[in-house]
Amino acid sequence: MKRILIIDDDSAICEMLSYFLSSKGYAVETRNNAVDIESVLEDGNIDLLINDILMPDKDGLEVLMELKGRFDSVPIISISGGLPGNGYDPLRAARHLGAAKTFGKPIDLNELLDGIREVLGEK
Amino acid sequence: MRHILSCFLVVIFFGVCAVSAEVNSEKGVSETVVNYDYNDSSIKVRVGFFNMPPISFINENGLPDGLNIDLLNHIAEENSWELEYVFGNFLECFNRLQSGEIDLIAALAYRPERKGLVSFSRESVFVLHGQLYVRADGVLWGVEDLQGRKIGIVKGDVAGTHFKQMLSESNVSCEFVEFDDYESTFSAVASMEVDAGVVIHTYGLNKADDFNLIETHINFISSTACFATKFGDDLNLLSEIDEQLLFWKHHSDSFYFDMVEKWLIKSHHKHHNLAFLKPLIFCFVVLLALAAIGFVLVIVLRHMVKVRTHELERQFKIKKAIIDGFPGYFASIKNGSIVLWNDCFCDFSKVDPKDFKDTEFKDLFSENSDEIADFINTCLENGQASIDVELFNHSLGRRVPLLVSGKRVEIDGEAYVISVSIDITRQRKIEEILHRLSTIVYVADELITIVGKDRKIIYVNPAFEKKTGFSSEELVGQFAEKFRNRDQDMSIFSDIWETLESGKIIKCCHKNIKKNGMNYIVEATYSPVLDMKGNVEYYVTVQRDISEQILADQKLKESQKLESVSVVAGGVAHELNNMLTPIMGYSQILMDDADLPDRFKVLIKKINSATLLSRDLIASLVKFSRLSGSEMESFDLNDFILNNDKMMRKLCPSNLKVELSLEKVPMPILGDQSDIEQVLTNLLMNAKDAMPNGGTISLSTKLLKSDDLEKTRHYLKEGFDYIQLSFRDTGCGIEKENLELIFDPFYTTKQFDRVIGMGLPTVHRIVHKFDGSISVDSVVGEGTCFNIVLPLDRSMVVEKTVVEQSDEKKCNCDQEIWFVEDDDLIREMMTNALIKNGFSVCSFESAKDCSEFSLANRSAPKLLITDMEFKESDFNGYMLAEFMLQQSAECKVIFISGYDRGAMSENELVKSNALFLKKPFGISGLLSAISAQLNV
Repeated sequence: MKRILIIDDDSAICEMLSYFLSSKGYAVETRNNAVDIESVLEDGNIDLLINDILMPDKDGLEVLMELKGRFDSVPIISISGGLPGNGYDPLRAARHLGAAKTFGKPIDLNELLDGIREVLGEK
Repeated sequence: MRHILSCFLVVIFFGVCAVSAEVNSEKGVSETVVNYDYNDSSIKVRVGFFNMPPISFINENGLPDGLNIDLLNHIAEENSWELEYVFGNFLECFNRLQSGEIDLIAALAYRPERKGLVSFSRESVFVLHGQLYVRADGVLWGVEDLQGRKIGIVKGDVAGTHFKQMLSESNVSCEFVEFDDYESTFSAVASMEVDAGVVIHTYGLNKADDFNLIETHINFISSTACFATKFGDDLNLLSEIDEQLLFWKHHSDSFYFDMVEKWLIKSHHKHHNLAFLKPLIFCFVVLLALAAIGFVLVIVLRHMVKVRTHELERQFKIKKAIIDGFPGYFASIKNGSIVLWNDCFCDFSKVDPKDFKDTEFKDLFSENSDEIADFINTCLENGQASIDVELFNHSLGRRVPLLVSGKRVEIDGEAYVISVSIDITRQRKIEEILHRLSTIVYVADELITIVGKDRKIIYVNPAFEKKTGFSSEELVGQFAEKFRNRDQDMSIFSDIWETLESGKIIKCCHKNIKKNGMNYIVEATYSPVLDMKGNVEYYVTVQRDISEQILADQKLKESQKLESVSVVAGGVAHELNNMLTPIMGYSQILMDDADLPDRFKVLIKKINSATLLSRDLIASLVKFSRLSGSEMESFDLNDFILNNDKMMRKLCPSNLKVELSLEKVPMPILGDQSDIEQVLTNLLMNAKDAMPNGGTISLSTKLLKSDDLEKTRHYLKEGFDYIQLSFRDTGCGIEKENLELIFDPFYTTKQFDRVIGMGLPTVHRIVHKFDGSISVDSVVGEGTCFNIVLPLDRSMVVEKTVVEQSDEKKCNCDQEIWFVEDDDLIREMMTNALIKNGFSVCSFESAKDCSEFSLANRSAPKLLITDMEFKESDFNGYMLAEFMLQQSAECKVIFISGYDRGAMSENELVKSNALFLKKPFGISGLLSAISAQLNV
């Protein structure tokens, strides 16, 4: 069973995604912030990281930059409710920083599931 | 002088009066004698008398006069006689007495031989004797010298008789000439008719001087003078006379002696002396008068001289005070040297003022001495001159600017230059301030006018001329009211004038008119300028063109509504999306749940679509709100439309036809390309919705020159060129009442589940962000046309031929470069760079897209620039290059890749036409590769 870590400051989203992905046969762990993300990844059990971009304590893009080069084996899917504007598109930025896939909120769960499968090489 | 003359005349007048009064008073004496008052007398006595002054004679008034006459008159008065005088010569008197015509002879010499003929008074009045007179230049003769001379005597005269007798006794014979009276005798002597004349000596004493005769030593006894009557007659007359005479002679203070003294002593001397003294006295009086006049004149003149001297001294002092107190430097120059100067002139020299004399004037002006020398010469030649110089003032311790004026004057035939120098420091400062002030007015951007009390323009500044297009000459002298726009409420101007005339300042806004007939709105401040008395002299108006500001305000107002919406949307978008996520997620989970009954699934699906619509709304609101932050760049609108032609066609269903009609001139505009893309997309979507059954979309561009009347519809900035983009559809059109609402956010005529009503507001906002304007014309059933006017970026206008647009396919074929790159950032960046460098570029996200486009248009580019590998696809850059070369063998290729070229195609054709460019590369690297491939 593949293990997915979801980081989103919005508990409702974490809960919903956890419910959905669990029903699709994944082992899901959720966190509301990315503060101790490295220690969790160091345990080595995580196969995929789904992270939110706009978070109060630690921004999703910061997470991407931190993990790049150190945990390249763990693919990342970034999600965000922020929309492009002022020459800045958070999801595009995430892709540049190494996110394998990006999805804007609200997320189409079917698209998300396709993306996860693609990234995990299950497709 | 006039006063002196009149004084002199007065003095002369009084002198003359004094003299004539004296003469008159002498006359008065004789007149009192003449005015003899006869008393009534019972006895009438006729008295004969002959001329024998001073005994008896006719005086100058024709009246009887003389010693005997006076005595007789007195006696007659005493005795109440009425006297009647009968004048005649001696013989006539004698004969008249004999004939009884007269009663009495007033004076007759006593002669013994006359005793039988007349009766003499016993008492004589005085003794008579004869005397011989000759001319004053004659010789004093002895009796013997008379021999043969002509001697004048009076006929029957007793003196003559005695003289004849004496000569005959002396045996001297003479020729005698007889005259009627003594006067004729003297006259004859004086006129040399005779040599000498015999008269009674009393007569001679009186008259000799009158005839310029002198008495000789020859005199002879005659007799006494008595009153006489006819012999024996009127003896009582004689006795009365005798009695009176005797009485008088016994009294030394009697009338008789008074008369004797008067006639024979005093009178004689007086008469004689008076005659002699009169001219002397007259001369003396005249001299005295003259002396008095002279004296008075001397006093008057001395006084006048004193007054005049005082006046001159005073004037001199005043003039000196003026010169010394004059706030300038005064010098009198002769032959170039200073001869006179005022006190303050010494400020300019350390030299002792006394030493100024004969200093060369020009030497004071060491630096400008040549100019000063010229100045003096000019004064002497032309009469006057002036010059500006600077001079060090020792008193002030600084250099002062001076205006030196000179005037030539002649004094006693010598030429002087009077020089007055004035310190013009203050004037200079004032000039400087004035210059600065006028510069402000001159260069000010505000429109400044000066208007007279008659409301006519006196002055306008250059900004006014520039703004209105009128020249100063056209404006000055015209009524200010002439340059107002007549379409506005003109009562504002009567208010303005009323306020100004009361001396108050007024601020207001109104419309003015330019020479070309266009309007401009000004914010004006009208200020009255008052004179010293507080009366209005003229008005100053400062106006500022606020047309653009008003335009900006209008735009602001229009966008405020949108702004508020967008600000809210931008701020909450993230939160809304987050909240929508579980809604959408759970609804999808439920929909997928096989256990859920279908009737619930239908409901869940509705939740899901509403969520999707909410997501789109949020996305469009965010787009709308974030327009302002995009980057500005210059790009050609025509090129942009051509580049996006594909995108537009993609959006259109097959039943819609797109027509392009682009004006073949460069149309650079400044802004964000994605903004224009949004405009086109939104308009296209709008048109598509308006034409559900198909139709035509016409897109045209047109250049609007600054004077194009088309602009007036849009109220745009002056002096700028604009581009008009017209987007016309043949759809259902818009109802007239809805036209005003179409740009309001969330307004839509379409069904709720299809559109969210932010399309046109976004277009509107973008257009205004470009400083442009949008208008819409629509006819229901025929179609709608949006006219978008955008300002031309003048800085980027370059001569560039625009590709012929008649064949819409060709436009794509003619893109010089096709750029294929899956990385959005790299593609956009490079595409923009190439466009900026003058290339026509068409860009693609993948090789697949590019090949499909080529097939669809049966075209190939001149140059293909492509990435080697594409994500999500096996169709790589090599394959694309091979494909493109099949389409056109002329096509050149540039490969770009992060990898080494090791894996390059073995295809010879590709090899010979391709270049390899390794990432990362700069713009310059790409440009040099392009120029190598295209030989440009």
